Amino acid sequence: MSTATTHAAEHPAEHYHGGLMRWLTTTNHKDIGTMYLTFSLIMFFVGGLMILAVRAELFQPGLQMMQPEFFNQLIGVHALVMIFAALMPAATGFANWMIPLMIGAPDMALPRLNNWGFWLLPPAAILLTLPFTLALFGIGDGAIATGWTFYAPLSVQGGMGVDFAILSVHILGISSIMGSINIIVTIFNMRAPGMTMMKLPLFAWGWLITAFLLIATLPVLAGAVTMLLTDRHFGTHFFSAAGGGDPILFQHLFWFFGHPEVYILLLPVWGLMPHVLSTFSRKPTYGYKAQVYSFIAIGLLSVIVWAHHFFTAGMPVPALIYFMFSTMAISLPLAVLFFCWIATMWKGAMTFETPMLFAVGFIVLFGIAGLTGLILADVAADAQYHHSYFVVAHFHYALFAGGIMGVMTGVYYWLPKWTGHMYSEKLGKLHFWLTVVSFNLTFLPQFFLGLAGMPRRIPDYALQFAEFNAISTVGAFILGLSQLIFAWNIWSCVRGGSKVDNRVWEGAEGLEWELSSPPPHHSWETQPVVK
Amino acid sequence: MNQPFSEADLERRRSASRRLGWLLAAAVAAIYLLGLFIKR
Repeated sequence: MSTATTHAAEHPAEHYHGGLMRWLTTTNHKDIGTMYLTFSLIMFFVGGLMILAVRAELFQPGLQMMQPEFFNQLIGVHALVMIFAALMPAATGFANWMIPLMIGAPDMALPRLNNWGFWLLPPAAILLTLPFTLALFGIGDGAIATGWTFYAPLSVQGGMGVDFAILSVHILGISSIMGSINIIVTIFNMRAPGMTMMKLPLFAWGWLITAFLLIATLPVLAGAVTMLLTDRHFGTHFFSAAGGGDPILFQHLFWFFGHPEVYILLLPVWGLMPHVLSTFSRKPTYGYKAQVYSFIAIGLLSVIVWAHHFFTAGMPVPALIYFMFSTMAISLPLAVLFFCWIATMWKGAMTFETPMLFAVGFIVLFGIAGLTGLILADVAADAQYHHSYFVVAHFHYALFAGGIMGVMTGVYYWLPKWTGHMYSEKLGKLHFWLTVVSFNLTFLPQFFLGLAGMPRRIPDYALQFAEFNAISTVGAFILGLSQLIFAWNIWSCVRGGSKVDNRVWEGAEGLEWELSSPPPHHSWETQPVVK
Repeated sequence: MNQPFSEADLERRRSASRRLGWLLAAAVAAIYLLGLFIKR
């Protein structure tokens, strides 16, 4: 049987449909990757608009534009959208597009599951944001207003927006678990001959650890929000102190998922970085094994440190000390990664195309996230910084500079491979500089606001915080508008532009660069052999 | 010269993937349900 026939049998739908039906029924990993990335970009703008409204309210003290309830709804849904509907789908989009190309597989191992995994996302995103629209028609009191953490007892008492969010998170979780299962089995079973686990591209390694973390922790989140649902509607008292339950139990369950979630968002990016740094330094990746072992160590440590998120809730001193030191221990394998990234560039023939600019920007700014994270891990210091803007600034250095700028690195690095066209370097560099400057303008002042005592999640504040808040809001609007350049650059690149070779970048190494740009409809019709 | 993927090889790989996939799904369900039996 010919290779083409083999693939046709595995992808029956895509040979019979065009237009919308192609996208609804596709089982091709590249189509599904494109859908994940497009969905992610749309939701990035949806989540961004929400937080621009929040920043507009915070431009000056007092209530100008909205009531506190709506303010809290915007903050909570912004976080849920950015985490579950923007960053995670972007990483899954990368995995879908690149893992089969990188490991020499014709497609993901379970293509139909792949299609399902994606198509669960749009209804979940609609559920999450629908309560805003319903409230406009007088139905309900808006979206979830508890922040993304769903903390009980506030979430037990909240309106129907909480129920929508609980259902949405269940669906998003099922989608992520489907994606994770597919990625694990693809990496284990679909590698080209000769590609041992210790020859696996680091991007695939990063995703492998991510997928295992998702499988271990998402069911715990699902369990926690199911219990929340039964507390709300079925008379249980898991989290109700009045009924013999314990609200702090919810925090333990939530953060058992929530802290690994940080690494779930970051590990795919950490896996991508060595590829980009090696390409534009024209040197092999430094410390391949050290990075693999660091990924594994970070994955293991991430599930035993959760309680540092609520030191101030009160726990025995030995527990405080354990969670402090175990959290600080994560900085050791993370420092190994930083060392390897810098050593990869060391004495390399470096050039600074847009992906490299974003990669270097990522290292510097994510380094700030790491250092401020160490401060928050300190039990004594955390007592002052907890629930302040210092925390907000810290996790945006982690998740915007570390996560979203990492995704932008990947988009600029692989976009020419995906489309066969080169994007505009001029616009790419403009996007980078505007993003970096405005990001710091937005979030650097928030460290000082937090140190001065400004609490998070409030729409009004004391006069002493006015200047830094005004600067932060101006920065946020520049940051938001800068992303239109990103979207335009992607759109222009998809539509046309100068053609690129198979090996788009001079220093790029790996199987993915041996295929044409864009890759053929069926990736790897013949098995590559890895030496 | 690289070899085309054979039907038998692909089916073997996909069968192994399905088996491991179900095992992982069972692990997810077990973690989800385990919480119900933990004494609080």
